[in-house]
Amino acid sequence: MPLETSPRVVAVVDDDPSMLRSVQRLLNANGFSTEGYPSAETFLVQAPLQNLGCTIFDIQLGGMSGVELWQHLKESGSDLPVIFITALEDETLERAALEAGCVAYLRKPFPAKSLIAAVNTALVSLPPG
Amino acid sequence: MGVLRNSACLRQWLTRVGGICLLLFVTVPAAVGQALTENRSPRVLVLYPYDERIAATTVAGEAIRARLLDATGAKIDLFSEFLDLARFPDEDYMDRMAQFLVTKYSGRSPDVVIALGEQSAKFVVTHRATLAGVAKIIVAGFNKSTALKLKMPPDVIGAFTEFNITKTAELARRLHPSARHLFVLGGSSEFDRWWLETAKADLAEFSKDYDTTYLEDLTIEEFVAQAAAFPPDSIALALTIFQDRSGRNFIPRDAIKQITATASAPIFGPYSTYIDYGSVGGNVVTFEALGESVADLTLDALHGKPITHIQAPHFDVVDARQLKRWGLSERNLPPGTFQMYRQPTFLEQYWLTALVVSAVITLQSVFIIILLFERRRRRTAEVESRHRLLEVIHLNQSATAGALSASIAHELNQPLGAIRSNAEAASIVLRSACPDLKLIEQILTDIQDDDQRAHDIISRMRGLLKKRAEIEWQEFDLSELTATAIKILKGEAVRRGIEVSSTPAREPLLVRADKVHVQQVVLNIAINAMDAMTKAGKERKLTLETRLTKDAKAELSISDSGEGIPDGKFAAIFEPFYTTKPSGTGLGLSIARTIVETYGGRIMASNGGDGGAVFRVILPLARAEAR
Repeated sequence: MPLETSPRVVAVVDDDPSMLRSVQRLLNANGFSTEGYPSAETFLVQAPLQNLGCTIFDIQLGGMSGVELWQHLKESGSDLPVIFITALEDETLERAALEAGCVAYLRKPFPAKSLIAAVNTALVSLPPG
Repeated sequence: MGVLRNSACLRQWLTRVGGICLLLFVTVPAAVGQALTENRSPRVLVLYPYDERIAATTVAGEAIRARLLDATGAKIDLFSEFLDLARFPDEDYMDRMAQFLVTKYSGRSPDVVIALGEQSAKFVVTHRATLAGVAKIIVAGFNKSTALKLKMPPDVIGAFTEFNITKTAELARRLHPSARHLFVLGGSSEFDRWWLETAKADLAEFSKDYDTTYLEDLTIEEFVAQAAAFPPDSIALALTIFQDRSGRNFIPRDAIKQITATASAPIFGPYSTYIDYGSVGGNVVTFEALGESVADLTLDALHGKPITHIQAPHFDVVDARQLKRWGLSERNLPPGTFQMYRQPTFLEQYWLTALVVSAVITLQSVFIIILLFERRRRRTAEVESRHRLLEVIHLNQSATAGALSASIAHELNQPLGAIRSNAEAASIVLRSACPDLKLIEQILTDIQDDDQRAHDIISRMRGLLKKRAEIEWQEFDLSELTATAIKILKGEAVRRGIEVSSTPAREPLLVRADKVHVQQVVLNIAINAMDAMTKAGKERKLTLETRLTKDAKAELSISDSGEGIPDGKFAAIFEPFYTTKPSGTGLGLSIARTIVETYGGRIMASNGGDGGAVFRVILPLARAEAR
């Protein structure tokens, strides 16, 4: 369930249109507002960073990867919580991402409750307002 | 018919007669000592009845001459006189001729006079007192019956010839057992007519088995025409044709030659001179044999030995060429038959060649058998090697699948992930107070699409792992196949940050091969290309292009933006186990080349303008192949 105190938007970046749609639908069904972006570049250009509560990045995005996007955000001073969703089976990358402080690293296909739990965690970890 | 035997025709030089034993043992006292006492070469005079063109007498005369010269070491004087009595039969001529010869030989009286033919014999007997003196007289070339009629003095010794048409007829019967017709040919001269009558008598028994026709009183043209119309199951016996009905004179064998030339059945004759003039053959006296017999008598006479009448030998003689012409079997010949003009059989003539040739053929056969075994062995080996190739290709396929497994799993996880999220979202939506059914519908549509996507990926995977027991020939578009290969590689390319682009040919490029194998070629080259683009920072591009070449072949070029192929390694890279990658097997390109060559194509490597490698695969078009 979405927290009343966090009406923040969840941004989803995935280059697979069907995946992007399904994740957004799942979040919407769970009461979150979402914004979807097909690539890291689009996200950087279009996303209203100040309105965002958390981000869900696919790792392999064709151009800039989800991991690079996160680096980019961190370097530009944003500390938006990040949840990785990926179809890759790469344990090294998973460990590295978790160590670097991502909220969750989910492998597709993942159960809905894992994602919702991760989003909730992300939103709670943010200072309200 | 028997009466005819003693008809008036006995004046001729050849007759047929019975009672041959009558005079056989008349011995003649040796009266020839002249040559010995005078210590000179013996003199022998040969009298020929005709001119020098009549073969029978000249052949006999030559035989006499040869034998005498040989036996005496050429210490002999031989004289010849051609009396030409057939054309000049009158008594006056004969008297003048006798007078002439008496004058001619007055200083050289002969020790032996040989009279060939009945007319010569008669001549010499008549003029013996003036012409021959004490000379021994030997007559030859007619039968004993004639000798009796001529009232030969007992000291005149004969080498007699007995012509028996029956024996010739028997020979004809043996050679042509299926014959039902018998034709007997004879001319219109006195002798010819006598011969015909004699033959009629002699053949009385024989001709009962045949539909017999005597061809007599005909012109030469009529003879030729009749002979050309003989039924094939005929035998013909040619007697003599000295003259035809129109009074034209012939040398008999020339007449025989004209007749046999167009005859429709084999013609036999009792004279050896007919042989080589179209006669199949007959029971004949060879005039050589007659001549030799006469020569032997002469030699004995010259040596003062007692001599007696003899019988010249008869032989069955045939012309082998005529046997062949009429399809008469050599096997039907009586034993001892003399075959003239017989081509030695192949083996007789070329036994050495035949031996060598058969040895060569035998050797060759052995080689051929060895080669056949070798070919079978090679075929088995080829089948084995193809199976091995198919095994290797399959291993290569598996390796590719392994290499691509991460990206394939990734690719598959996308639709699976989407399906799961969609399904869970839908179940939440359905639990709400008023479910958004439109959204549910969209979700279900997406789920279906993703399911299809997953299915496609698995299908491609299955194609990638398909194992072939034998080559499966298919006709397919090389551009389409390239597109499928790109789909398989896409995930991997994305994972490695490689941009894949493709330019398909405008026209379909139908080739005939096993699709799975050609796909493996594309994958091997493409993966090799992707492996070459590892350098960080550099743009990573993989370009696949298909086109129709100028010489109407299908070409696929795969270029990368890697480092290119080192100089001098363009050939080596296709060698098995050649690799520059730490994890490479060095088999990918080698297998690619083997596959391409299996389907009649070529594979080439070069470096492109921007430094990367370019691989070209050229395959023959299916249609061109069919042509």
